[in-house]
Amino acid sequence: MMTCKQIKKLIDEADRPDVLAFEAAGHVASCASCREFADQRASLRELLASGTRVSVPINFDATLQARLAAATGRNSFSWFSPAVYLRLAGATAAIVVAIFVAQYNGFIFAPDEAGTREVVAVGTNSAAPTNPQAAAVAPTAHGEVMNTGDTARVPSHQMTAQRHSSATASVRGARVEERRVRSVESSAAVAGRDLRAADGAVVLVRGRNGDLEVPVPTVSVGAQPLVYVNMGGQAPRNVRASF
Amino acid sequence: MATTTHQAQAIGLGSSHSIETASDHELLALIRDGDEVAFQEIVRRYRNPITNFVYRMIDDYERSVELAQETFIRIFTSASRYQANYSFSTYIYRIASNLAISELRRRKRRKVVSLFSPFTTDDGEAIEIDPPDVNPLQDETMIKDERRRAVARAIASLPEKYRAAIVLRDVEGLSYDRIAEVLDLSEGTVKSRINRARNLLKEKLSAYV
Repeated sequence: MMTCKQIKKLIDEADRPDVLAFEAAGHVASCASCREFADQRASLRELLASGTRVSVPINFDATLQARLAAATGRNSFSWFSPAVYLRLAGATAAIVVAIFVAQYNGFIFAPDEAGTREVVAVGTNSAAPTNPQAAAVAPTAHGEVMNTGDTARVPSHQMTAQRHSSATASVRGARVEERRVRSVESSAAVAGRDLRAADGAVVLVRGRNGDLEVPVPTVSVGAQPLVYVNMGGQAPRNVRASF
Repeated sequence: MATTTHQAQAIGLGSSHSIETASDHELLALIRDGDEVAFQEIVRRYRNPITNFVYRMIDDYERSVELAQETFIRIFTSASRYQANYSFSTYIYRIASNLAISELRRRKRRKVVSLFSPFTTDDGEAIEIDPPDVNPLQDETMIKDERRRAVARAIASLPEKYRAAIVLRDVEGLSYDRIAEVLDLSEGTVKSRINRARNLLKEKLSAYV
């Protein structure tokens, strides 16, 4: 036998105020207090449910789309957090260090201290025609470099390097600008070698990994020695000629 | 007419009509892939119930519209976090309920005083000042309006923990187990709070009950 308190609890928990549990319905029929309680609960729930239901304004969807666009726009940059800044900075620093290391080890072309290329035009024996060896490295399809800059006269028996100021060289299909050429002394000793250009010019290419002798065909036209350098093979970094 | 997206076709929704008949879970799966048509359908289904629920909670129409929009924005941006362990309506009502309760607490911190309940008991419950109306009987429309306003004031005067439960039960018609999921409470606690809220409302609305 359930008490009125338990019956009222069942009445209150009913899904619908007009549909009571079997035990509650039977008790309510015979109990005035519980019947009054059931009637009040039904009236209250009906009152609460009958309240005006509001609806959204006409511009609800448009306003929502605008706010959503602003919200997603902010989110698209949310990845740019301080942690990402640190990662980017670290990656950039690592790349810079790698570049410096590669340059130091000679894996990457490293300009000189002045940041320029040095190509020394080597004066040759004017009587020497283009030697066969030089002819072997005559201009190829890669083009040839003709130093048309301020080239000084070179005595036939003297090998000197000239300094060319703002000399420019034209390469077929390319343009190479030589900003500065360091002049070198006409010393015959370069790292213990005695270089001659008896059969033409020899360009000594000095790199961090060693020196390279590049035979160069030379042709003297009048008083203006012209140097042809096959630029297709390699790009000299530091070129110094000593005789 | 809604445009069928390739995502809709991928899950077997081959026409715009299918979007309208698709379940909430299917629509949310499309929203997770960025389908705006599915999102618009979800908005169409729930914008009025959610706005009404929030309005009942905070008794402020304009703010309730803003919070309802905030609810949908969170649905869209957090679609990947939705888990199909419970129904979508529970999920969206939970978001709206949290926003409404946060708004109520924010207003409480601002010490917003109701003109109808400027005093509170030691328990923190509002003491409503509601002088009896001794004017002659008014016409039917005005009576209904007055009744609606009285109901709104009565609900607004409830403590927030009772307010959410009674609105979800007697205004929105959710079941006890669904309300328990929305409010993250046990069913027994939900029933207890609803009983307490009804007792308070019966006292405030005695003239209409």
